[in-house]
Amino acid sequence: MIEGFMSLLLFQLFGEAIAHLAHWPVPGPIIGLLLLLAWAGLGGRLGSSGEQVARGLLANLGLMFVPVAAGILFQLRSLGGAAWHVAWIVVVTTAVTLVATAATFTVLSRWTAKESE
Amino acid sequence: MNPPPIFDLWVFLKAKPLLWLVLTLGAWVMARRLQDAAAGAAWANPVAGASVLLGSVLWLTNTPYEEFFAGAQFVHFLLGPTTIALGVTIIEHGAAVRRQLIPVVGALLVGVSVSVGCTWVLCHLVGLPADITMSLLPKSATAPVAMSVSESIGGIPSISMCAVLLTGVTGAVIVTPLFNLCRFGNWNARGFAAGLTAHGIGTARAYQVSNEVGVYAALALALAALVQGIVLPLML
Repeated sequence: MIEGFMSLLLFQLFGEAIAHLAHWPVPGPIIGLLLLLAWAGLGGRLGSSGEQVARGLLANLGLMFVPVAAGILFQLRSLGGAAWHVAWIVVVTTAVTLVATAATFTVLSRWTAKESE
Repeated sequence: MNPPPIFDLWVFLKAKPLLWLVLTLGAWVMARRLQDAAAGAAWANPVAGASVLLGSVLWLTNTPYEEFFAGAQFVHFLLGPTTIALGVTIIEHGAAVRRQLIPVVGALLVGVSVSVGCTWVLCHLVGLPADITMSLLPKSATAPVAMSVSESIGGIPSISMCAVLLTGVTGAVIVTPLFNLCRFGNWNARGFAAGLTAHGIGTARAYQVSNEVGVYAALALALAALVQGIVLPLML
């Protein structure tokens, strides 16, 4: 278990190092995730221990957002009068983005399915 | 007169990270049970439930957020390795994802443009100040990306954080009823949209549906973070 956890942290560490050296605004863990995908593309494996830890963490993915999300009320206060505008703009654009993304994906995947026939 | 012992105990425990760590995990377990009891209903999203529960405890006990975070940071730290862990499931479904390359790239570009463009237009119509508008633009990106992008385009990181969380929770709660209403039957498309729009919180929602749907959400989360992290600072 510790071995698997360490290999996940190792990818994160490399990701953080690259983000820092390249001065990218992309966070280290995202770069670490891409490094892992590249590693797998080259035929590398994470090992069964790593996969086991990964599954355990992913089963509780939502938990990891709770510490920051619990402070949302504290942050809303800092918006003052603009809070209501921000709230409805967020709700509307979230709905529009969801529909636009899913619709594009659906149409394109139907189109590619037809092309390959 | 001495204060009652229970008060003394509270003052003692409140200053320790352990209490807040236990409460954070406890709130999560309770919120998960609540969702199970509600037969997995969308409104009973565990991220929203646990956050409201903890937020209320902090508010009722007049606890500063920093004191709470001293304990909750141990959970917060796991966000990093969990992001890497998303890669494990993407690899497992790698062959299926590669066959969907065109829909993935197309939906990525359309989704990010719609998110940023629509937010910009609405903020201007309402006449929000420029710093708030800039803070809202990257709100579909995962929190650390949104905050660093916001800072580099002249927004306020803490407002971006707030918008990101609202977007995530809103997305995770409305995604299923909204897509049922639109009769979208392509589950890969539904997962991808959830991850692109509502980042990690939407991805967590997608993993509750199934591992395969979660994979598309995780992929969208990572790609959208990359696109917004690189393109937005260059554009603005």
